[in-house]
Amino acid sequence: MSEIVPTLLQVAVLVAALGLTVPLLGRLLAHAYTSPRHLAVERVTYRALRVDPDADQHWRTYAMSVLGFSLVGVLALFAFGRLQEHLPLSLGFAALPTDGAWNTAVSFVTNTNWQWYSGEAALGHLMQMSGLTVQNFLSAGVGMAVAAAFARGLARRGGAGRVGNFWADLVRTVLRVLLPIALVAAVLLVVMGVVQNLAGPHLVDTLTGGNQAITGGPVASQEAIKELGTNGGGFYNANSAHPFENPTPMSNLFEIFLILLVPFAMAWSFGLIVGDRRQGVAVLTVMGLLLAVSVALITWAEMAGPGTAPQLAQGALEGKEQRFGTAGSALFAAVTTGTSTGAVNTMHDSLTAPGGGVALFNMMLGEIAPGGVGSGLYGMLMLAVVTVFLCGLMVGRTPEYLGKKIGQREIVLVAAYVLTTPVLVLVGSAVALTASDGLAGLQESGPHGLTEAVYAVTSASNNNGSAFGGLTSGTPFWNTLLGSCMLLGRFLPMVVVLALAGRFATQPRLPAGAGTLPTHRPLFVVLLSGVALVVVGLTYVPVLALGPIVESLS
Amino acid sequence: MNDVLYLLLTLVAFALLAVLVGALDRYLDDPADRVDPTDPADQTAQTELATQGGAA
Repeated sequence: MSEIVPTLLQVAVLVAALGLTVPLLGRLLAHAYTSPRHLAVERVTYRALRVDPDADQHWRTYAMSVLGFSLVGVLALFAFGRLQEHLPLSLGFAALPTDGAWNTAVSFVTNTNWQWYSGEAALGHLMQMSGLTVQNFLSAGVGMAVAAAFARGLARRGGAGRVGNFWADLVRTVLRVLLPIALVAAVLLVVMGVVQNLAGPHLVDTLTGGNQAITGGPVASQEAIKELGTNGGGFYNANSAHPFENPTPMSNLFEIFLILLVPFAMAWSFGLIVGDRRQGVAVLTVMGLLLAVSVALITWAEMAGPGTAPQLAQGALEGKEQRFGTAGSALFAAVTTGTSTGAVNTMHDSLTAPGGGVALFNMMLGEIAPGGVGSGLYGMLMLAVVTVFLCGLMVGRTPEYLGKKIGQREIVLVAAYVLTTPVLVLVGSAVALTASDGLAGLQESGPHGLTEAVYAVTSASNNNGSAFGGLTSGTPFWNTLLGSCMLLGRFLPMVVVLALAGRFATQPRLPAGAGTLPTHRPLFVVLLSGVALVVVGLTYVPVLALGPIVESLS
Repeated sequence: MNDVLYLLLTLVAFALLAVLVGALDRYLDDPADRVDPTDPADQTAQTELATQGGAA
């Protein structure tokens, strides 16, 4: 247990850094989503896009803008992949196969960043910079815009279904928030040792007499938005375990900080947008509690968990980088699966069975603790609606959240949201485990093999993007299955969220009465946490029992 | 040929999502929610909307 002190120290530093920066960024975000003024650079962008940023869009128009913009993104990235060999800075790499190009296009547009390929062995610099990194900014911006629209829907009274302007939200998110922070973060990462150049492969002779190609590239600039936007797609196959992406314990902690910054700040900004900061703090507290529990569980599992070898070695060291240690790896694993990031600094296939199970459970929670940028906030708010609905049933009052009545139509939408991802995960897993092409990709059998397949489909459907490993996913079957899960897992919930935002915006905002459940008090924090765990538990316990739980017990 | 198939898959997926948007819009189109300009209560709602600005 020699790592206890540094473990607690890095958590304390992380909490302090977030405590200082989250309120500041939350205020910046709230201002960006409520200010009527446009910056000069934004006006230029609107003119180039030929959009009217002052048009207050009906939720339907907002949703169609999201879909249209994302469709163009998928088609453009697909073309990038298929035409790579003809593009400059391709480093001689061939075009991606059709299914692979489609999977990659969908993956980056949906903020998933599932990677079936090895970045340094398949993609040129232009594809990485102009294709993937650009989508890292835009897909994060889309998620945050939808969350802002949902918060606006809750804040408005009699808004006739109008939830703001998608183009203004997107452009402001990227230009006012993501780009400036990513720029500073990239410079800091370079200072910490992350590479940033346009070098091609450099051949070296290894100690054993072999040859190895070491590829440089614009890594720091991609790494910054990869973490900040909870994207997770690495420049290298080893992702944040690679020393060029994440060279030191300091860079490791900084990358964890970047991952958590925006999701928590979105919750803070939510309170400001709805005019009651306590509401944002309550949501943020639930996110923090759930994350803290998963950090504690994975850290325990990896440092003192079951198994003779881990106990003798004072930690499960297989698949971990010694420079991060067991605790630094466990913390990263909890954060990356709790936030829909999907970057990894350790091989999740090598986590202990309970550790891997918690990582899987984090994603099954629906990426709400604290979740992806934007998607974490609206996912948690949907569960908040479920919570007030259940509490309303218990006391016999019409449930309401922030003065908005939760009627039949509202709860139908919320139910559709809550069920969408589990259906994708369970049906997708069933398809993978019954098709011969699906089984052919598995390298393990038994409970661990089941976990590998379920983890992949869960990761794709929840737009996380981390890979458990042990799965050969670069085949037409897996690329198509996981691509479909990513696409539907991203946009089906988004459409429902926007519909509910429009519904709420239409309603008047009722004053709180004696029967109103306060949604800013500790009781609500406990209830919301419980609802999140129970909803997920009831849905996924059977598959968890057959996978990581039975593996833990065997 | 494969390219065309995946392009079609993409277009069909997004077209179905657009259909879902339309279906939800119809589902949520409750006549009771429509603003009646002759109703004093609805005029209040319109005034509030107008004072909340455009983009945000």
